[in-house]
Amino acid sequence: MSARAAAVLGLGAPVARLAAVLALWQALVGLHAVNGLVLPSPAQIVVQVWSGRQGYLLDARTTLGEAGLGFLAGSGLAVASAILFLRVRVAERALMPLAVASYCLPAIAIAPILQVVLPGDEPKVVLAALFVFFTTLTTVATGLRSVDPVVIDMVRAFGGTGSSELRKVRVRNALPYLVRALQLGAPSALLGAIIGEFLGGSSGLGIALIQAEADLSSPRTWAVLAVSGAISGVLYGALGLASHRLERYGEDRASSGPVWPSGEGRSGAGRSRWARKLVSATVAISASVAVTLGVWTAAIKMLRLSSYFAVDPAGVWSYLFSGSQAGEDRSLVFGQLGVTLEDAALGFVSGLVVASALAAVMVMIPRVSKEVMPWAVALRSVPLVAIAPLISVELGRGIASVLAICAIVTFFPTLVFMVGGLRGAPAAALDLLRACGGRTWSEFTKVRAPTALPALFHSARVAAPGALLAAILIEWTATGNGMGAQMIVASETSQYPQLWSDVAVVTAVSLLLYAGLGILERYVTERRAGRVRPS
Amino acid sequence: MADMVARVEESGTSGASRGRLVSRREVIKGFGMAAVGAAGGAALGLFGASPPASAASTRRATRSARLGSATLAFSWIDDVQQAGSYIAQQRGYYLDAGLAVSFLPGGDTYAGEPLVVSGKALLAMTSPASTAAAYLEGAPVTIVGAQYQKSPVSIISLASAPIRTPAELVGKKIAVEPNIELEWKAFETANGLTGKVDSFVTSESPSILAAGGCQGYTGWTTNEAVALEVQGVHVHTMLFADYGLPGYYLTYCADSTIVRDAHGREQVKALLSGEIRGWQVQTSHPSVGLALTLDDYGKHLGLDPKQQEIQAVEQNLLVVSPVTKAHGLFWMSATDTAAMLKSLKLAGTAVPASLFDNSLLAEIYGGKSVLA
Repeated sequence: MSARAAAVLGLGAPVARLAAVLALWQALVGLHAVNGLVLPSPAQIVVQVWSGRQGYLLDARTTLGEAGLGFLAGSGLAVASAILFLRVRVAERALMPLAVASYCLPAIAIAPILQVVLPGDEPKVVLAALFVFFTTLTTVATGLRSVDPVVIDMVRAFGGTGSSELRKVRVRNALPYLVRALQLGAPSALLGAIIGEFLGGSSGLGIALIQAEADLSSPRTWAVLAVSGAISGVLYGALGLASHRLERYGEDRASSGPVWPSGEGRSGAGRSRWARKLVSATVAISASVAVTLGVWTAAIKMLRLSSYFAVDPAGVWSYLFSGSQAGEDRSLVFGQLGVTLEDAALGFVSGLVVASALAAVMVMIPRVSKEVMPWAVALRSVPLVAIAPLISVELGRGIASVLAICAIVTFFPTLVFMVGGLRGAPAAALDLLRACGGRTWSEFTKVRAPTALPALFHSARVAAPGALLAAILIEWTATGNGMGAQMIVASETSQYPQLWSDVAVVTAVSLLLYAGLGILERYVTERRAGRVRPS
Repeated sequence: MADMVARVEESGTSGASRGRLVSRREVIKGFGMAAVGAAGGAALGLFGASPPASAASTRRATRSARLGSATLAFSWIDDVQQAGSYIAQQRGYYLDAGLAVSFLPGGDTYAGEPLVVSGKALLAMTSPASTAAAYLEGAPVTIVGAQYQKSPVSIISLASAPIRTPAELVGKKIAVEPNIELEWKAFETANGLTGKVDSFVTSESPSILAAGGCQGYTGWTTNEAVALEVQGVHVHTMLFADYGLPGYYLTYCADSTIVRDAHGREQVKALLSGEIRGWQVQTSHPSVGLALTLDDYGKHLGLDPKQQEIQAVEQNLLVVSPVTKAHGLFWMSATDTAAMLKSLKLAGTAVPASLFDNSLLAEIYGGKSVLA
């Protein structure tokens, strides 16, 4: 048959499968097998979207405006920072932890503070930028750095300086990474803007969500979800097209895996190198802690924020350690933290395992990739803030909901990184294996899996703060246990010392997880680099 | 070295084979796509940056306001809960008093006291419990009027299994909203129920009641209970205020330093005058504010007209009382304030009577009970 007919048929299969799922869903609700109050039928959702289309269009426009500005600001700042960190080592050491802290901060808890400090809709733009900044920074930085050292040597040999090295080689190398980062950033910016809208406003998808939930209208809630998901999906898909064109060129380069920081590894005596690294790391961490605390204190002073709701580091210290009730306060804060960590960890590990397994299947059987990717995109695109309460009604107020949301949050980035890592097996090694008669399974175990090991640790590192924040989000909105619940109660009853202490503790723990997993990742990567590098 | 050079030459020709370098054409394409992406983002940003606001929120003062401009912060999004304020803005009641007022809609994650203390709002709609907590944390806040003379907080239960008295709460599963937790604890204390009720804090919506996740839900009679009814879930409500925990709600919170300042005091009084006149209309003709909400301020929020209509009537029952009939809307009588303080003490937030400052209302009304 003609190529065109084959292409259409190829498209037909997943569409048919989607139609089948929708039909089944419709039937289940129609037969009251599923609680109609919680899960409306597809027909109801479509009707709802259509009848409210004028309002949703307006809401979408508002939210996209906030998200768009935040996306531009966050991405722009991220790219600039990545280039700066590459060229100026000191800047990297001093400012990187600040960047990580921006990622680890529980955004929903700082929203009320942002609203007091910034005029109009700026809090929403800032939140959108916050959601985009760090992941874009790390992805672009990886792209800038994971250049074949041979090529760098060649540029230098021909008399190139640092900046021509940048222009001619690194920037081109980073392009696929940039586009992939932008692709992931678009839904994140949308999510950030929606969370910002929970503060209040006159229009927006977040506002529509508030109203839909106030009306106890699950068709309307789902309609807003559908609209947000569709927008997210379109943004992701459009950027995905661009990414795919450049992805081919990223394949060979990924052989050295995501490397952070500088991946042009050095060989050297093992133990003393690690000791030196430990010392320099400690110095760096102390410096950045000082910078973070300094910025925090200075911001409060410069903006002249009332000490009633703006607590500085000294205030947090007093609350947790030196105040009269410090012991009780500490056990309150750390007790809830323990609850959240436990729950998040379970979901996190589940998400890692499921995503890795699925990535393996997708790489080994390309047809599965075509079927699964759209679903994965849809799941990732739908705003968590809306899924959280729906999950909790279906799965209960307990651990199942936390597990589910943490798994979902961990799942998608892991899937993306693992697919990239598994696909990025060096072509030469694969050729060699096949030439020696190796089969698919040994291709997987001997070449692809080991190549993807850095990707696994990278996924774990990237997902860990996200899982923690997702746990807090669902606790904030549904379960009533753990850190999230404590934070919302604190913010609504003016317990600002407690709220800021909670935020500081969560950020610190998130940072520790990120750094710890980062050390593991570097260890694994450098061992890999040592094995793969042509001598 | 030679083979490196060869690789560079090779990649320069067609697109990248399995070579290491990207061809110029592909780079241009890449930059092009990135540029398109960025342009798209910029376009979205500009496109959405000024969404067509409803006529009301772009309303500018048509005459100069001698007292300047100020912001009133709402605790919720634009629905009929703020009807009286919409009337006041639309009919120019604030401007009559010399103040140009703009509104700051609230939402889920709302904290009114920081807005007032930071100067972002002149007045904020909050609750006495919330303002008391802020006061105890050192915030310079004060309450200058009580929109609801009676708190709308109640135990909402299914009509098929109603909870009619506090005694019937024993052993039941009760879902408590986070910002009601303190009042709930006070209610338990007031009725000797501490430790006898299986209560849990959750941000879930009242549909948890319909889904069987609890037997009672601490919610408002004005909106949440009505939303359930409109969805076909028949409910019974038991007001906290009727059973041991009397008190105001939706109180006007101001910065106490501003209230003491001559100009600030005049601004607050001007805002309150506008509010009084707007709510005078709303309490006698609820359909006026309802129409304004549905057709203008809350036009694109997807409000349920049926629910809003019922709410408009329900909330008036809490705004109007024998005290307001005698002294004027939002009045905080000595007796009611004393009862309020007692409830706050039960909730663990004991505050001085001076937190409730009725003097501004007294000055505004000047002995009358209605503002012309």
